[in-house]
Amino acid sequence: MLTLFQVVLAQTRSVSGRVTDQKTGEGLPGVTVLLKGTTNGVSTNADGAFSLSVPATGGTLVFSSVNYVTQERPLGADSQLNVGLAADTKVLSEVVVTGYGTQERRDVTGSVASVQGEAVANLATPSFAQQLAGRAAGVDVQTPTGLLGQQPRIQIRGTNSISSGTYPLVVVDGQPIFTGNTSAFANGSNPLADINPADIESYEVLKDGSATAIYGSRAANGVILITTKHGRKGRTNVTYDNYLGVAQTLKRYSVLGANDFINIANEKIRNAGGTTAVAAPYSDAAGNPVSTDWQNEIFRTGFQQSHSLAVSGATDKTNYYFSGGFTDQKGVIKANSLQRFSFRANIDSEVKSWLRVGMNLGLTRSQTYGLNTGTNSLSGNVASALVLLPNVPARNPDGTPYDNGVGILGRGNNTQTISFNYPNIIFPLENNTYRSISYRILGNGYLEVEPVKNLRLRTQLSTDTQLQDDYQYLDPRQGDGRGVNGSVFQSFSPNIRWNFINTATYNNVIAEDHKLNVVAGVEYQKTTSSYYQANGTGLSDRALGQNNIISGTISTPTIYGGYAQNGLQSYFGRVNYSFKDRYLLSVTLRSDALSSLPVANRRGLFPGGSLGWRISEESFYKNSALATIMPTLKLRGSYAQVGNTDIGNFPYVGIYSPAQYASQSGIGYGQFGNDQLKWETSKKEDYGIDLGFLDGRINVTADYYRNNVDGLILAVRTPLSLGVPNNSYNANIGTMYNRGFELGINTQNVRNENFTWSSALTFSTNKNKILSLNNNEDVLYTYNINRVGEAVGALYGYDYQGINSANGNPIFKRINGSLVQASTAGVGSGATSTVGRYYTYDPANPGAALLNSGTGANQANLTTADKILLGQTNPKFFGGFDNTFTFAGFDLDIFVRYNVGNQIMNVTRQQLLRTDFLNNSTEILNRWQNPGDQTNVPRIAAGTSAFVNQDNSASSRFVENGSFLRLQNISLGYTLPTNMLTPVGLSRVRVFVQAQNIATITKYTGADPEVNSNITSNSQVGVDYNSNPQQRVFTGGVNVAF
Amino acid sequence: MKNYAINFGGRRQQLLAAAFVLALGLGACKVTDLQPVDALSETAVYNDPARIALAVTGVYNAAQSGFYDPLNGSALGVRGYPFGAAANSLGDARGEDVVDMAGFYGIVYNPSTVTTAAPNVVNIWSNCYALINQANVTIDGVQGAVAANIIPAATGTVYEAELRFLRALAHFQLVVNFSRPYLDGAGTKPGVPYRDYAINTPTAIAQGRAQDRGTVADDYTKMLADLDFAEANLPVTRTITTGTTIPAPSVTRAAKAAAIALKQRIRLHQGNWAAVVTEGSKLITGTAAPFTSPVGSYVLAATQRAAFPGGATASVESIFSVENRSDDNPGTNGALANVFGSAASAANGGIGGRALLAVSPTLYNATFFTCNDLRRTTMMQLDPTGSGRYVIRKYTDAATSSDFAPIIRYAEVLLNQAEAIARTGGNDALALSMLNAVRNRSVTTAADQYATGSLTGTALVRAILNERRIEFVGEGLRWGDLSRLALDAAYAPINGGGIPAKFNGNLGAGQISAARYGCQDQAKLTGGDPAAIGSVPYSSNFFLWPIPALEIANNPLLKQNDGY
Repeated sequence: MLTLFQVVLAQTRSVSGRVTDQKTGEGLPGVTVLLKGTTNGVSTNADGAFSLSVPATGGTLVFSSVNYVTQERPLGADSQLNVGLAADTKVLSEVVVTGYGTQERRDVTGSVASVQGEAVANLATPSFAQQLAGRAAGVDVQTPTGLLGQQPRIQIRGTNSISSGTYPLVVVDGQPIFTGNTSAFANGSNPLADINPADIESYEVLKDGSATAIYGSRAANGVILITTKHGRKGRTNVTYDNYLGVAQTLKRYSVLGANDFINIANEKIRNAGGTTAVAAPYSDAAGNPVSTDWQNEIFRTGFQQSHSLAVSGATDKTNYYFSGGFTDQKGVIKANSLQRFSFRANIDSEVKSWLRVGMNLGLTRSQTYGLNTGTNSLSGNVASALVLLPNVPARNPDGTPYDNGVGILGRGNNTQTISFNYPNIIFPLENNTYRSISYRILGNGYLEVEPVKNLRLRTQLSTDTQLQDDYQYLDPRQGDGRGVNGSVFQSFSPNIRWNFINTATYNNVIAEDHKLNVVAGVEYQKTTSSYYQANGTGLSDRALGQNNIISGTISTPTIYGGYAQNGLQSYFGRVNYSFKDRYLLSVTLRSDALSSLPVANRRGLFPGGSLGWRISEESFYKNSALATIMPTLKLRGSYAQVGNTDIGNFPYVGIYSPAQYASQSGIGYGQFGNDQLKWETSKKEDYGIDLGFLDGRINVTADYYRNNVDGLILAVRTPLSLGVPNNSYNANIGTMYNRGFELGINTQNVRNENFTWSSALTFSTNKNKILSLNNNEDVLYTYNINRVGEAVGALYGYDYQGINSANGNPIFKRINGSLVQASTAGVGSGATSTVGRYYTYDPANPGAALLNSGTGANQANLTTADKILLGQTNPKFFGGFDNTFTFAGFDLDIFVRYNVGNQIMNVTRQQLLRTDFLNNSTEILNRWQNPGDQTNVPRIAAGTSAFVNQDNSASSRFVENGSFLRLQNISLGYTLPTNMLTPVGLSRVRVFVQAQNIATITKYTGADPEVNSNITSNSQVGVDYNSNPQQRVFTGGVNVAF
Repeated sequence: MKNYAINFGGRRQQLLAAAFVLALGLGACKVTDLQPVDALSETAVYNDPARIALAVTGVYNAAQSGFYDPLNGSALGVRGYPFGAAANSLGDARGEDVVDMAGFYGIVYNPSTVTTAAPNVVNIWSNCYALINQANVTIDGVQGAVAANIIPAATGTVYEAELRFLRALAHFQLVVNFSRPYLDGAGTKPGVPYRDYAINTPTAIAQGRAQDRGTVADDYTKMLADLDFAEANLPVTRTITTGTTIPAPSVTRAAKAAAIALKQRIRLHQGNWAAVVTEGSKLITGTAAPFTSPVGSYVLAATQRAAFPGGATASVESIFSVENRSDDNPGTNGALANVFGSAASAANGGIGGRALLAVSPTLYNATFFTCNDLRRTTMMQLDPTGSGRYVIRKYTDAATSSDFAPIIRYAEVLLNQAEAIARTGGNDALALSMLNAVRNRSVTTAADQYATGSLTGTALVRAILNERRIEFVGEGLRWGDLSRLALDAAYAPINGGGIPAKFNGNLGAGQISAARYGCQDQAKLTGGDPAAIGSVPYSSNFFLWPIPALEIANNPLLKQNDGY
């Protein structure tokens, strides 16, 4: 007995080591290290180190910690044992941030999607928003172009208004921020890009009525909550993250080279009655014929880099996070770049046991260099490059842009100058300046006291201060600045919002079974947006206009300015109650007053509520067989009424606006008033179910929602001939709904110590339908329509039926089913002229002569009334599929995104078939030439394309399926083993490479199916018009922790 | 220990109380109690004489710089719609005497390509009606202010008179472009809705939607009534206090002669020669040059160059012009100097314009356009850009686009009068004298001048009509003449009326190049490529512009022109 005991003692040995986070390499404090099957165990210290006595004969150590996957390691001979624990994604989001508070995921009865900041932090994109695409069900994020500074279009559960804003409310650390472009230039500023993605801890997307109701009138379009990083207990943590990368255009347009162009151009002229060729080859000095690819002059390979340094940590009383970031992105579009310096300081301190203070402060300077990207501007980069003549050189032998001496592209050996007097695009790109600098202060400070236990009173004052400084220089020699002898323009626009929130929160568990959380509060918000601008033309010297307006250098000065303000005042309250952890109830009430509405209707009441039932906590369920495979089962249901504050500053006031008549000052009737205007409300219903299988390794969340928007604030169209200002007034007319189904599945497919594989799948559908409009009249746009019974912004145009192979005329179907053909004749005179006319098409006799009058006359019409619906512009369903693998030190992430069922009007394609003296797409090579030709491209005659191709109208000929499947992102990382790092004083080093926008499967023939010319419009969507293509980015980088 | 906590507890509560009082007290800040500070409420305008004056001026702004919107709401830009430049350039572009050189005016220039969504057409329609409603709303306000003794009745009447002048001008622009001419059935064809009431209430919107097109004759009657009122109440001369480059009396606000002259033009369209003469006689004294106006002392400038001094100025010949200035103008895309002016730089003899509309060889080579006519030698120039084309030099400030848009000149009054007199055959000598007054300041070669008594009857009328083409090219009067002469068998521009064939400036040197131009050289018109844009007969729907689809969609009562 005694002997035996001694032997045991003798065989005991000590094992020590360090437990780290597998991903960050940081030491993990408080990890339980237990000898399996015994009570022998210790906890790791602040640095993650441990030491434990174990039997020499072996055994197994179990490492467990909240939020991490438990690991077991058999004891070997070594006395040193280092372990990296993998984060347990199923529990990472146990606590979710909600409006004015937090909640445990298990208690949530609303629909809330969470995305961890880490998932997107290292991606080279203009802003974090682009990376949210496909990661949260119900959130549709479109990136319309590859321009840096481009705002994404974000829609949560469909388009929720026609005339009012549809952008979600974005709240950073409890403060609502600016989201729109505040620059004087298109794509000049993207306020979302002012936030360094590396500083973001998590995103929460509030989607249904219950989750958003606490934001009342601002909630119609959903809410995105962003939480920035805070220090964690443990030693001071210093991290450095960077990436370097190159970017290219994802796809370019296919246009004609010189030879094809010359043939086509001359054919156009012949068909229009011209007898002399206009286009001829041009040879360079070496005698080689010139064929210029103008897209090479507007696109390039971009170089992009980002560096972030952060220091964080926490003592018992205080936690802190400081960071600095720098990113420099040179776009794939020439002249386009983005440079951002960002600083963040987040501090929370427990001054007394009952008093906490803190602040979150972000300072950013973002500088965006842009350019003219106007879709029909002469100096618009894509608009111009696609149509510039390929049979003239891009540059003179001395390197200067080739031009005709008066600011227009040179005509080479052609007998005609380019139509519309396009300038050589090189000149504006190399000489004009569009600079936007945004200075952003995003800061809040709070004070929180706990006067009695469980009651916390918090007051938070915050500001979003954005100072926008824009500068434009237009060179006097060519392009936009030529006519005015040079132009300088400078704009300063401060946008200042302050927000003051006071809340009282009561949190308690009463008699074990009653969990209660009550929030009541009051909020004030005021936003002031103003600007002053100066413009000078007639520049004395080019050198004096490069960076700033300089006194005494301009001959014609002009000044502009404006001032707008908006205020919101609210009272709100919410009760969350759960009984026995099974029956969950949430009730919200908010009262908002908004300065944008008339006094009588200014205050609106927005109630919401939800119920939840955690069936899996019921004893009958726990005892059932189902509980073993599906231990979590929760049903949710919610209803709320929310409003929309994004309705303009004074939509109800009948106003007289300044109306200058040259030298004479004036005012003019500027807005038709409506003192009856009231809140636009959304009634949101949501029914959801949360399922957890196999010990939480599979989590499924499914929701069905209905959102009925009532009393839409519609810009009611008035007939043009009434002369009402803006041809519209605002009134509460119209209803529509969005309905859809959302599914999110997170699985941990494999979770071994050395190999883990987890997946996240999102799937969302949305159906939008307009139920009523003013007199139920159509609201027409150039390519879109809002019509009762259809989705908002549906495409609307002519029903194209192909080509008459006998004569090359396009055939259209009228609303009555009859077929008409449009004459492609380019020449004709008097009563027999067929130019610009329609004739009936007889399939039995396609070659019938076109006759205006007399026997056999077959003249016909195709009118606006013959236009039909050509498809909806928002996807029917969309989502993403993310797979993450870790193996030893390697981590691999593959993210795929899909979007199905939307149609796109490809105006670019329509425009590239013009028969003016411009270059064309290669599609024109298929044009009809001889009787019998079977093709889809009509005969080409100069000056006829506006008629033949139905310019300024949509046509089924140019409406294409915008569905796509995109390999959005692949990243591969390797975390160096700790034993290599300790000697050099590093705690973690991860190197990675990644590629974004790798491949896209789509039938869409344009540059990209995600393009959208009008991202700020709800109705004029799904239109691709000379868009800048997306970028494909390859990066490599390193994450280091000290 | 317990005391300690209570102690602090009390202070805590004070702190909290303070915080909450502060929070709730902020209600006094009334963050929601806001009014626009960048515009005036409509209720705060017509109770203040100074603001009423501003509102009246603002209606002229609607005449000068309405919006142009090629992209349906997403690209609002000012291009001088309707009268700041667009009426001038489009009135010419619809005719044959200028050439669309680069495609910008393609859908207006080539009649067969016009559609119900054509931006130029939509914008003339919508901006004319915007001007009309601005005038009506302001008339309504002015009348209310007079009734409330805010402004004297005399002041109110003058305001109303100038607003009714603008209202008539806008309706005339509409009826000439969107309706068949008066001569077709004596005005029985569909007109354009004549709006003569303020539309600023839901009731008025309903009233407007219930109003159909009426007839052309209705429009004429109402235009003439408006102008009669304007004539009776407008002052003879206007002066404005702002601006230093504007000559006094100002021509940029309606004066009595403007109302009379516009009536004269409208009567000409009616073919009511006697009425033309009646109106013209109010503005013309004398039987031989120099003719002068007893109302406002208008007189022909010594030369056409002097009548177009260029930039933000007017001359003794200007009866009504729409004002532009360097900081408020139709811009490089619309201003007259930019549209018509030479693209060559100043150093090369041009003005740095864009030459979007060049002089057509049809006019330049016309047999009635004598070689030494100063309107050719000094008011046109060869722009060597491309293959070369002749352009108009009436407008000179392409750099800051400040040229006024001429609406009515004294020369027009004289030629209107000459035509009416010649048409009635009463006094051919006087008609010729008026023609010569306009013509001989430019045709200075004696051999080219019309001798007294050398022209009578049809030949005289034809000479006057030809003279209008030379004198007014670049001013937008051509479309009005094509319209009113279409059913005038003897003088129709083409047989049966219609729009003559045109050269296509966008179709290579075969159509337009310096070689195409020659003084009185008809061979150059037919040599080489024939004019590529065929003639359009009067019977064609393309003779009229379509009513915009946007109008029809929201106003089903309004009947579209046939064929669209």
